[in-house]
Amino acid sequence: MGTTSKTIQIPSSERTVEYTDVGSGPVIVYLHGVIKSQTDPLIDELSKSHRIVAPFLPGYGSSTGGSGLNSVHDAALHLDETLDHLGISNAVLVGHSLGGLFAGELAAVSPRLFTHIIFISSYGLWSNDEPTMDFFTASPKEMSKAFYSDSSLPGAINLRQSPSEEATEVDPNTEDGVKIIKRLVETAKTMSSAARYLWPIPDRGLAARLYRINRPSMVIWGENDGIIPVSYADLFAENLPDSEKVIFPEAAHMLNEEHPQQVAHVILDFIS
Amino acid sequence: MKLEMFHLCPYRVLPKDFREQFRSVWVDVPSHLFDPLAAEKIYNETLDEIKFAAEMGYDGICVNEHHQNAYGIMPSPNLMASVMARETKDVAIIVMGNSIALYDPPIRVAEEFAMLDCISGGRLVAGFPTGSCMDTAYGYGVSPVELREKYFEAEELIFRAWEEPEIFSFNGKYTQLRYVNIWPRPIQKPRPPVWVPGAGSIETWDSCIEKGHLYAYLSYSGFKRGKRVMDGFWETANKAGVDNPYQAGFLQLVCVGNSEQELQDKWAEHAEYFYNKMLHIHPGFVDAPGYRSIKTVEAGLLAQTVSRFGTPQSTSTKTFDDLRKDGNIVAGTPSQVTEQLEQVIKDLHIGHLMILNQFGSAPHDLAKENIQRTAEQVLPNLRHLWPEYTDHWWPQNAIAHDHATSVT
Repeated sequence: MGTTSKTIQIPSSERTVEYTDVGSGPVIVYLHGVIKSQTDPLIDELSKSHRIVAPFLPGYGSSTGGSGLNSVHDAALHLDETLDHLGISNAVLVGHSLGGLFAGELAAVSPRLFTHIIFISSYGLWSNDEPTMDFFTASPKEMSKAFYSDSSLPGAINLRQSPSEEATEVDPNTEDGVKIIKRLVETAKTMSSAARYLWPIPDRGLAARLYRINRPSMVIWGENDGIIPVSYADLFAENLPDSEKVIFPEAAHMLNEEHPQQVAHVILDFIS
Repeated sequence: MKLEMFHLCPYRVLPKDFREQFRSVWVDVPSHLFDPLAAEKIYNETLDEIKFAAEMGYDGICVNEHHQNAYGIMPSPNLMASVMARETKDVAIIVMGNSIALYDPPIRVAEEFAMLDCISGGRLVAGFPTGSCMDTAYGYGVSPVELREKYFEAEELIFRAWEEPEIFSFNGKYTQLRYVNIWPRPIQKPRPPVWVPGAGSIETWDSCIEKGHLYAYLSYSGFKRGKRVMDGFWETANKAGVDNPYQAGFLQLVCVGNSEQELQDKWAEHAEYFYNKMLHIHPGFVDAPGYRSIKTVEAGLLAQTVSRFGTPQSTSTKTFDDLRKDGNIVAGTPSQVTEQLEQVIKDLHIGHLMILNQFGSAPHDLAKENIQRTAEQVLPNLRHLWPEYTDHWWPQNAIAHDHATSVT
């Protein structure tokens, strides 16, 4: 639902936040993943019965990123201010992938803002036995395969066709060159924002803070997640005081695009 | 004109089918390929070659820092430079350099460079590279988005550590020190000349011009493609009123032979080893997100990063002939090499040419022969260039064969 996004400036910090605000009803705060879906079918599903407030993470879209938000704590406080500015409390918090890392940090800082926390294929923990994929070193084709189990989805195709794999020479004076550079710049922006919080190992100590999330929590994972192995669902469940776990077979990292209806159903069931 | 011999200290004995068997010479190059006894020979022969270059009449000798790779096995160039500070008497000791964002705290660099400057009697050039993506983001785990900010903070700290007469406190974002008071301090005042090796980032040009550092473009893609980057640098420099060629350097692979047949027989396999094995880098390690700034990406400078570290794996292997045609390697008789290098020097407007006389798998004797031929039959015919300019980027107590610099 990228088309309905708005942009605000938070007066206290003067930072800009782009966000999607769609639907009506009880509020679900939704934090997107490393790859922000152009159109997010999970938001479409959830917005049928709820108001979805989905801020673009720091450095994504026109949201302020950069070195002022280097640490996950600075970023979590920034998200807290964002919700405060939008007058949101008593909400459900959903985080996917990189958004799950921030959901964990935010809920650990301000558990009182939320009624339920839902982690979908989330970053934030680390296991030496099963490291997360280092997708920063992967080609677009390899990434597409790890993120999606269904290679025919538009997101999977889009990812595969990223220009960075083939391009070795870009001429900024041609129409094609301008197009390629535009896409490369966009990718460079979002991926470097992700790298800020995931480099070199995506662990900023969340495991030691998850105990603070004294709210009913749910952990949702795709069985074939090529980015964060499904065993991480257990790691989250073990560290959260009150959680349940749902594993989707035949799904990888992009559950929001792969099984939007089923994921929405599980979430709505859990929070009702 | 100054001419320096650059040595990468490559690992010379990779298996023949390395390129087919393994994906990268950097970062995840298998450790079982490293033979410490082979390295004993390589390190010592490298030191001998560098010393020999100094004796043969090069103005300076250059060593540099790389990590987790077979391309250049000097993770600590300071160790090599330290030997050279003793073994040589008058040449510039050019460390190209220490990746200052990798040291915690970075005053370690201020200390070691100060030691080198003292041991060498004021002959040190302090090189401050950002560091390749493979070395910094992957080898040393520094976040690519923080690298440049960390680099500039480290630079500020090191300069102050050298120059401030009193103890001071440094409260940085990445380094906090209550007492900064390094012993020793460099002989050269206010500090050794600073050279910045770059790979074509716009920020590096800006910073060199603003701070008055020398910019050295270390490319293996040769002078033909190097021109695009150097033109970019000079465009930036000229806007700031800077046109002294001594503020710029360039690296060039050179081999000198007496005939085409000799060059082919002696050098083809080593040149091909360099380009096809030493630059065989997994593309995923070359350009981590955030390593290059958005400004550089916007300028379409993707090509420089890729080409600096050679061909991505998808492209085919290169032959000695290709490499000569493309200008990656300057090879020929002494007069042919002299003529070509003069053209490179003028085209790129550079006052420092860093010459690789040993590269790839070239063995010790061949490297020495090449050093001697280059030093005796090429260098003397290039020194006269740029008589109208003064080199402000040369160590105070190093020898200078060009007449533009007065030796103290």
